[in-house]
Amino acid sequence: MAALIHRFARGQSLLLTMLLLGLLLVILVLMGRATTNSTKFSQMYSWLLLVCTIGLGALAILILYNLVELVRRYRRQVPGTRLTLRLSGIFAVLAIVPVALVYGFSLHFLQRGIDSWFDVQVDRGLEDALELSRTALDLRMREVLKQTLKISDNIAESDSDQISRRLDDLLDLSDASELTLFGWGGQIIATAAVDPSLVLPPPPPPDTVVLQVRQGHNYVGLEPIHDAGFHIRVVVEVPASGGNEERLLQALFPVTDRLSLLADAVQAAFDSYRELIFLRAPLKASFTLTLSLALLLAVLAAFWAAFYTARRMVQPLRELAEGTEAVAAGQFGRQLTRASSDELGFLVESFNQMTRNLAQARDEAQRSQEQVEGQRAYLETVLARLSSGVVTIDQAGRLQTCNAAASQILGVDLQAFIGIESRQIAVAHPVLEDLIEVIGPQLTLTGDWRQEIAWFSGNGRRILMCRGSSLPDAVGLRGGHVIVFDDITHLMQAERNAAWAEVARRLAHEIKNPLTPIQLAAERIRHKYLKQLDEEQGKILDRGTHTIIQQVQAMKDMVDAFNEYARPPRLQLAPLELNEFVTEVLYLYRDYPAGVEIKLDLTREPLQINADKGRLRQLLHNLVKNAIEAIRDGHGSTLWIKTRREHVTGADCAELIVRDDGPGFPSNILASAFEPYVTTKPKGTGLGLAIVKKIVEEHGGWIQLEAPVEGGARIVIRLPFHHEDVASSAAPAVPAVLANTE
Amino acid sequence: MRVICGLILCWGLLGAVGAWAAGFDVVKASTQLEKGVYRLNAQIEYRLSAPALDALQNGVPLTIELEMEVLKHRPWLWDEKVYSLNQRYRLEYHTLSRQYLVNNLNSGERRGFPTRSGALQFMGEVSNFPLLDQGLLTPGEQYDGGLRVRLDIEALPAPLRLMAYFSDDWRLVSEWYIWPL
Repeated sequence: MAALIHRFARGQSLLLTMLLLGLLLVILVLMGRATTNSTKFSQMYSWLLLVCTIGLGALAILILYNLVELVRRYRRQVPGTRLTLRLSGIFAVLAIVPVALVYGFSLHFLQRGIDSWFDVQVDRGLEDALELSRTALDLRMREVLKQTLKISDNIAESDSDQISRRLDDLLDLSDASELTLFGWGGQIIATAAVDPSLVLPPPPPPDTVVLQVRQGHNYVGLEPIHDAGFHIRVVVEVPASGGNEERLLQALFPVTDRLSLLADAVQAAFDSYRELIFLRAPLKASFTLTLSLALLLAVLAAFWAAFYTARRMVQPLRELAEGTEAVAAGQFGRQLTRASSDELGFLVESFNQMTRNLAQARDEAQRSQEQVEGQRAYLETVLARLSSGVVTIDQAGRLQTCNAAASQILGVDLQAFIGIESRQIAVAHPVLEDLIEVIGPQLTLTGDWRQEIAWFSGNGRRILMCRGSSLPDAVGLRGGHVIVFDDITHLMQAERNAAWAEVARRLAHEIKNPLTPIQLAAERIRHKYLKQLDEEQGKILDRGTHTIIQQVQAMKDMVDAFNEYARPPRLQLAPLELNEFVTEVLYLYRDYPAGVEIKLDLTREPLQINADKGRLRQLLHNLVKNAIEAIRDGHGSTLWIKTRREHVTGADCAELIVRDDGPGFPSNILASAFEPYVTTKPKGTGLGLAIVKKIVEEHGGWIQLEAPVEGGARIVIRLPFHHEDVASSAAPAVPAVLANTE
Repeated sequence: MRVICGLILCWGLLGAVGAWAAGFDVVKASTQLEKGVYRLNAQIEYRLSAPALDALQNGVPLTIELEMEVLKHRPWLWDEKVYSLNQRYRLEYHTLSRQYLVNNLNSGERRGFPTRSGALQFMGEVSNFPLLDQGLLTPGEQYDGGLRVRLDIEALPAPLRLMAYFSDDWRLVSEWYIWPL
């Protein structure tokens, strides 16, 4: 119901408004008829007027609402309202002008027309006719008075007992319809009537009449009969005679039919004419009112029709405008309803076709884009999973793409440099400068190339295996080069280690065997010939053999150490608390020659690891010995040993840091300090740190040598924690992340 | 015609002097119980306004309505209308016979009067009008009678009606006259 009212208010319910207009029209027609004294509708006049006013009021409110709404929408610049307003205005003016013209003329003719009904001659004529009727009636009355007087004379002398019969006789002789004789007191003495069926006693004359007659004036009067018509009442005095008192004779005469009819007609005509004259002003007002209401109805209907038509005409245009806006905003799903079969309908159909085509085209574009995206994502995923670094560079030398492995191998976030020239990247990251310099010349060539490049990164010397290829300048590719590189440093290292192990085994085998006979021979020479020689020669022999034995022993030690390095691991792993262990080992150094102070900084947390106690002791001895020697060489004083629990990407591990304030490592051997026979010490075998590294790797750990800014050297070792579940397995692996960060 | 004009002029003068104000009044009204029937006796004064008289003289019939009510007393509430009755008279001027006709619309009875005052007096005297049968009332309850007289505007010719609704001259109606039954 509320929706219906709203639709009605919006002027959208055509049927309802039409009904209202039709109803108002019918009411106006009825009002017009009621005004011209049609008694049937005259009864309803007031109600018709009320209903009509309410109806027109409702219509006016409806139109006002529409107008206000339209203006509001116009202010908000809703598409289509400008046109609606203009069309409404044009239609309204087109309708109102002729209606107003007709109204003006009608009003004029109405005034003139009603005035022309009345004419002095007609007025006089009617008055004359009335006068004539009166005269005719007067004649008749005079005649009946004469008759009555005769009757009165006649009955004056009659006896009271015969009077009734006498009256009947006289009634027959006269035109009277009823004769009645009253006493002065008003009592009926005798009565005679033409129609004897009348049961009612004849009405006595009114007091005024009695008084008049008493004063000697006879009464003749035209009086209305009970329900219709008139009769003539004559009342005369019957003189007293013969013992009779004075009496009153009342005679009722009918007015003759012909006369009665004519007189009635004249009377009716005169009355209605008089009434019309009297009602002239109100009648004009009523007609004007009805006409004005009709005008109002016409104007309001015109307004409404104007609104309705304009809205209907503009509706498809507005929808088109909204649809176009939607298309401009990228919504192609909108279909307009085709309301008409005219040109507008054709336009709407074309619009729908266009949006359908657009939507189809967009969907196809989207689909192909999705496919391309999918391919791209696929390729990217594959590239990201590759352990080799992949980089593409365009012809201008700008970085085009790179994968995660490339950034990781080079230790530089290359993603941030996409689209930037390689020279500028080198400026931002000087470590890449060498690499770019080496690769640069290759990029000028076409075809594939392959090169092994030694490169000094921030973490030491790296060996990269680079393969490159120029890209074709085809659709989707803009030429340039693709470079694939792998960090083969570890591979090389492993190869080298294997080679060293082989050398060691050979040496041990080939060198150690002749050493023992040499030593024995030297001892024998000494033993046999020392006593036979004099003091001076003996001294020479003693020194010579002593040197041989000593050097052979040194050689034996060296071969043992080397053998030890090359020996395949035979670990006996057992759970171990690192802090306790460190404390225990360093206890041996508590009385170490003065000049070196050992500072322990051990964490309170228990650091359970899985290790071979003997190997680990060797590791610690090597480190401490190395450090002390370095401290002595470099006039340092302190050795710091620190343990802590470290959490490196997803796994806990125990960290052991050994730092000294000695001279540190020169930068040229920093990267290869863990390789055999790399040493800064004149007396060192060059195997100390190599063995340390080997032990760490045997335990699945990670080792790094650093040169702190405050001087000295720092060695960081991380060993995996002992886990109950992995205790049985040989050597727990270093977490992949740890290995990678090396 | 001249007589009529004279009369109108006379009434107009009277109206101007202010000795006479248009309106209807129920001077008094009462009922008496007669053989189980309440009979109404009332005296009503009709003073027609100049436009009403004008209309009457020009052949427009005036319909006068006597509204009678019987109200029952109710404690705490307004009185309940238990019975109502309307008596309508039509007063018109008969030009041919130069007399005023009073038509009792309820009974259809017609009476002619040579003068208007006679006609008004006739309408103004209600005697022994059977109002209500006693049997219709509940014994022990207290009842009031009410009487009002008014000019029926709806019975006027349509063109005159709209004007009559908005004019004091045509709003001829008496106050309710209430008396205990």
